[in-house]
Amino acid sequence: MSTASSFFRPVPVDSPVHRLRAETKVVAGIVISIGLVFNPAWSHVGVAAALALITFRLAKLPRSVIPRLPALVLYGLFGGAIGAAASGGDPILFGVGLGGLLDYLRLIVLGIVMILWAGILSWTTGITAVGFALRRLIRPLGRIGVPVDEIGTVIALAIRSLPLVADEIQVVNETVTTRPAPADLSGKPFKEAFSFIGDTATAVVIGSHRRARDLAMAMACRGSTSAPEPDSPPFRRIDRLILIAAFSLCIAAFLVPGVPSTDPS
Amino acid sequence: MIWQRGPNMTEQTSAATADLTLDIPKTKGPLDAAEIADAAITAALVVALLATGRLLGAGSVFQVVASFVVAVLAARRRNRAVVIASAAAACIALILGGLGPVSQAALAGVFGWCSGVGIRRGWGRLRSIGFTLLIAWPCMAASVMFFYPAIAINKKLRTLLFENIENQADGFGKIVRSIGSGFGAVGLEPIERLADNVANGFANIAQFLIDNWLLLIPATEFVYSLVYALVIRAVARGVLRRLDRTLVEPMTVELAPHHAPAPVPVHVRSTSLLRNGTPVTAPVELNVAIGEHVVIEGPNGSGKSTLLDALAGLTNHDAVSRPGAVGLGSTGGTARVGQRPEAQVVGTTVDEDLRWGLDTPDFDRVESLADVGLDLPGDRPTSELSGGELQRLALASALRRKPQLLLVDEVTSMLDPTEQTRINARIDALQTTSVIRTTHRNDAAATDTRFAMAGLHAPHTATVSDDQDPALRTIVSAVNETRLIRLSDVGYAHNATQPWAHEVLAGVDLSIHRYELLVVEGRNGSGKTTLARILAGLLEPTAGSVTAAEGLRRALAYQHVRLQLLRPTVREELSSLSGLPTDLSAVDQDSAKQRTRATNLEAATELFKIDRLLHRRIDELSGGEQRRVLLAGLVARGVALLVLDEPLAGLDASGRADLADTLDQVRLAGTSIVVVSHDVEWSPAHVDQRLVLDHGRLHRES
Repeated sequence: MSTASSFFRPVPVDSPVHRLRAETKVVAGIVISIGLVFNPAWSHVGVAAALALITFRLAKLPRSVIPRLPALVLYGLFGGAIGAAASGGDPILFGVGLGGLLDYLRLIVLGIVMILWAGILSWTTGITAVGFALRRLIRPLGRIGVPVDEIGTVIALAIRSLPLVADEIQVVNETVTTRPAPADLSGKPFKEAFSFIGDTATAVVIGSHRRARDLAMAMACRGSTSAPEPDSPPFRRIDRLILIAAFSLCIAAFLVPGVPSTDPS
Repeated sequence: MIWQRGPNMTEQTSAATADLTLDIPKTKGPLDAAEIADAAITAALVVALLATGRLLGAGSVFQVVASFVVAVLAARRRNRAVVIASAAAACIALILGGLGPVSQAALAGVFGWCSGVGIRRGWGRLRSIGFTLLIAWPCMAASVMFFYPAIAINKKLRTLLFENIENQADGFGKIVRSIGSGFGAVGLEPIERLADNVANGFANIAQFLIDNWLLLIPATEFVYSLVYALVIRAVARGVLRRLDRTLVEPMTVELAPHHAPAPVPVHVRSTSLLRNGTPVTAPVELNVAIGEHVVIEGPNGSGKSTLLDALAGLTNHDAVSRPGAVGLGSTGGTARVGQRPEAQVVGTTVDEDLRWGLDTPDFDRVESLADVGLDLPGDRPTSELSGGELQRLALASALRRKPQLLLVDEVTSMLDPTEQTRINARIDALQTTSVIRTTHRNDAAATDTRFAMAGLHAPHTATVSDDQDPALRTIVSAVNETRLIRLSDVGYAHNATQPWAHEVLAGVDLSIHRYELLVVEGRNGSGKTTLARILAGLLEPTAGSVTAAEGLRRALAYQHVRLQLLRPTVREELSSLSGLPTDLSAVDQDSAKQRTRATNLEAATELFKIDRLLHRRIDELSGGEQRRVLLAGLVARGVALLVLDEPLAGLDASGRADLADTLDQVRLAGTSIVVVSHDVEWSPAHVDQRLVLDHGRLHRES
């Protein structure tokens, strides 16, 4: 289909990471990220980065899956590095103070590691599988009164509609951007931007209104507004081991100060 | 549940005092089918908009549109629907790149809900913005990528961030100072002093940021929230007013499951069946006995689908009498399969779709699928299925329910002839089930009862008989060697640099000349749409070259034209399409370009016979009329090559004649046309080239 719908497609290879349950990948990614944010010591960032890279290799993902950053972002990152490098500070190696640059690197690596975890999830897991996993994960919240059935059904139907809706947005976006600018608004960039947003929003909403009608009809024809309970294949040992490891890492991140200690001096 | 229009409400959007208020009944409990559907589509839109924004690098614009989409939901539906839609969107956003998109989706939900509530209750600007700030600003501040709580509670991350800010200030300060001391060394002390001051300034600003972070982050977020709230409100009110009549009223769909349904024998009697509250059919009188098979015939717009919806118990309840409950979707009740294949399937996977609403332990997927000639794995996402597969999957779900009454609306339109025969035979073999179906092909079995439907209006008949039209004959004989565009060895692969690249077009050679009409046939997945987009200049091929005549304007018209029409009325749309001011009297007479466009527009309006529609609203027009408006505007803009993607879908004989008529008008205006279609039977007069696209390869038709 279109570029938009291929956005939600995993890399079609088979690997141990592809075969893991989607829940395992979702939960492990979140838990490790939380640990990192609460203790971004070099040792912890290093361990998480190494884990992410190993997972990346195990998933047999080619390097080309990583999207190229826009030039502006790269320049910004580079500019930041200059400033950080110039500030110097401990440790000093061959008379050059590396402290500032190292702190900067740590922050950047932290960001990259967190995005990489999310990337690995989407490159190895079909969006339908993630949908089922999310529905199973929110299930326990039902005990405290969260309407998990309805949220689950809405997740299922939204994922079902995502490619159709994405294509519609693409059509509308093309229409708006290829149309000549309104002649009476030329020279009024603010109004033009408003009319752009208004036009896009109107067309998108009208298109989606039709989709929603169709969906309601289709559900009426099945006589039910709730999605069937997703199958729950048993957790394999590897899934359990990974989850235990992820939680242990997270707890360790809180307990172990890490090297070098980042406690405020 | 109606849109109340305030007393000051006028057609002009400038009526700033106009109020939109909407009463939502204070029902409690779970969402109904229409609410669930609205919530799901909203969630999908939010996720897709955020993804598109990332892809295009215009995140904030698309985030505003996403919030607006939620605001529309909040203005029309219960809070429960908004909360559930936002929760679902936030969950799905996880796959877009972790916790950042999750918080973006959640924020779109919060801002949208606040604005929507204000609009629904008819609050003034001050109250509405105040409410939004009260609720959304803390959420905004709290979610600065969820780092804010992390910063506030957790000293470690805070230290790292602040050290980096200090380092930056210190580093750049050192650079500036050393440049300054260079100047000082050659005797330019003032510059040295200035550099010192700048460096100190950096350090001071950094120190100020670090000392006052607890205040500064919420303060910036406050300003940001305020701007955000103002923009959403301005956009939402303007657009909601435009949607006012389009969205009619929030629909409700009642589910009718029943344990002992008795839908047949059924009797329909009505002076005119209604669609959206408007009469659309001539008087109807229909009796269907148990086991009887009826084929409904009639042109587009004669109300065939409306009749089927009435029989399904969805509309026109007074017109239908039956012995018991209709039992739509229940075992042994009524089953309905509607027209557009992608609209019939609800599950994300084949298995989920088959189990939806009938999740019995003895369910045998393979057998169910084999019943309609399918062999698919249960975990295959339904978004990857072709139109024909979707139609048969929906039929499999209907047949699983062993219905007493089966309603099928054009259910074989996307199938191969052999598959069609098979499915028709399967339906004909249903002995005890009453079957009512529509078809645009003449394939009723001998034993079927035929029932003719007539619309309220006399069917439109095409007026131009092109063999006699001298003007058209001149045009057609004028097809000449002026080449507009040439594709040589063109190929296209989706995500060419990515591991999941797949080739959809290869080795396409094609030239299009002035005045030509080309038809490209191809089945679903043959690469038709990709070729159409390359021809229209919307997509760069990944192989080969496209040479277009200098200054060639090209455009693409999609099957569902509505998405390509942006303005509320026909007149405004035509002005916008041709790049003229909305008020045509404001045309700049000194600008030669504008004068030509205005003249062209006038000519096109006449040629496409839309002069009587100028004051109508776009959404009051039929699909064919909407297409005429789009094409007239494009022609007036000076488009010389027009590509039509699947213009035939869902058209009956008179609709097709109307389309052929429209195409003649386009050619009379001097524009070349490429029609891309899956329909192999269609053949308008004077086709200059007829090509077949098969698995991404182009062949001449022999």
